[in-house]
Amino acid sequence: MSTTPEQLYNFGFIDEDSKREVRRQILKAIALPGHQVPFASRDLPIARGWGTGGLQITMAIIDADDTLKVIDQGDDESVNAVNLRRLLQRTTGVTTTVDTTAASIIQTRHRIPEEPMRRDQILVLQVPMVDPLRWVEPNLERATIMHGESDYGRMWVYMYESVVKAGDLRIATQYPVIVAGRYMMDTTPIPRWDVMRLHNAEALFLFGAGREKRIYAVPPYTTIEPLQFEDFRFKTEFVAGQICARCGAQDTFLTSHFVVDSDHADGGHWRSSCSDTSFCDKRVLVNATTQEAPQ
Amino acid sequence: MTTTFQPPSLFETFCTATFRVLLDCMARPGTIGQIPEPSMFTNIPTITIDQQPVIANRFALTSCLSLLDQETRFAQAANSSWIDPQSDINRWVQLRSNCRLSDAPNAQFVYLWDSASSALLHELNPGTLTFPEQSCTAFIAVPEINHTEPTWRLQGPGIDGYCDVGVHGVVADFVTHINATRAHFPLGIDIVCIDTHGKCLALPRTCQISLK
Ligand SMILES: [Zn+2]
Repeated sequence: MSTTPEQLYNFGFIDEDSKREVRRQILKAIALPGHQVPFASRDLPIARGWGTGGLQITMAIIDADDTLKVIDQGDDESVNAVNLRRLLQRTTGVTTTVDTTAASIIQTRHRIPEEPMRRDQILVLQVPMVDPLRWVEPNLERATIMHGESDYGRMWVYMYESVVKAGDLRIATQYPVIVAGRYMMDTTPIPRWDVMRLHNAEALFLFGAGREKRIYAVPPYTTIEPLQFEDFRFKTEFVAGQICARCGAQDTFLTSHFVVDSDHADGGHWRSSCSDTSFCDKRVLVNATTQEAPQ
Repeated sequence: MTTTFQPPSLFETFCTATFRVLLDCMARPGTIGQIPEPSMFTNIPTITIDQQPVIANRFALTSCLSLLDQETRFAQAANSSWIDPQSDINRWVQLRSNCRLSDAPNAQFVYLWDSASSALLHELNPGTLTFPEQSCTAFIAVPEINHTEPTWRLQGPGIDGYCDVGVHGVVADFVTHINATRAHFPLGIDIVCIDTHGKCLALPRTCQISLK
């Protein structure tokens, strides 16, 4: 993205009418928790599927006073996060941060930060697949009618047969929930670990899907109920005894990387650490400081 | 790092700041936000009620205007009747937003000059089961909103338990008229009340209001 001084972008990149449209749809999404609101997704200088839905939300809401954090898979330094942050920073001039507690807007794919979010913070999630009913109704228009009529019986049956009986875990990583007792919502692409962190939270959650052109929201203090059965209760990925190899945290969402080690019989080993890298870095720093301090 | 953006105009800055107040208030009913001073708008035409000139609540009218463009249909009412699309005040809004002037059933945004006009809320589009987001949003000017003398108790999404808020100087039927618009969720009118000082209280259709 190179420009001459004569080719200035609009503040926040997209034009004012595009912002206004996104803003109107966000307000409706908040008034209809969990309901997917269509919007006229614009073309952006990044490919759809790389966060254009979340990006347009951030561009429509961001103000010059905001402090922005962008993460992908919990990581501030991933290529995608760096590209999105650079685009937003260059077209708004806002301060950016990796510190969750310092951010007013956090744009993310795949994760809700480990540190609890406050009422003065907005989490913008990039969504690849919007509709939980796609498992039983691939046609989006028919699925929209089913949502309107709370016609969720087939989804409950599907959930029971595939997850409980067949042990199909694909859907278990895109866990459907009921929002505020009414709309069924997909929590893609966050892990089950993060699902209940949407429940009665202090922060506002906005979801944007660029390819499927939908915006939806979970307001603060809104109930989130995962689909579950008497004999198959909702469970997170937590494993007893799990621990982060870097910071020692025992209650975070972990990711595994293969570490090459020629001394090792298999040529290396798997190592698990916090997926929220900024949170992990903070803990590593605190651990180092407390170890140095005389007790 | 180089920045390559045009500084936003006064109006764009007002629209963004106003949106963030509306966003926060809509996400947290019971929160009282402060609409910024719409200093770029001067000479808002008055209307005449009972041969008397009446001045608009500039915060309420312009915060509604901040969401309008050529894609949106707008109407306004005062003293329980819709204002003629050819009137100065409607042309003033249209010239500054490019919005289309509309009759009540087709309006996506309305500005009600007073709480008495809430008697017209039943004429607005509440959306459909399939497209509840196509419902109208109503901005209503009220004399005063505060937390110090609560008159209403609010419950619903965005509220931790309940929230008490005071809305003063409104007609006796105000809550009845508002509640009648949201008897059939997900259909309903989303409402934003703004007082003469720019204090803002949003009442999305999920918000249950009871008199204290
Ligand atoms: Zn860690």
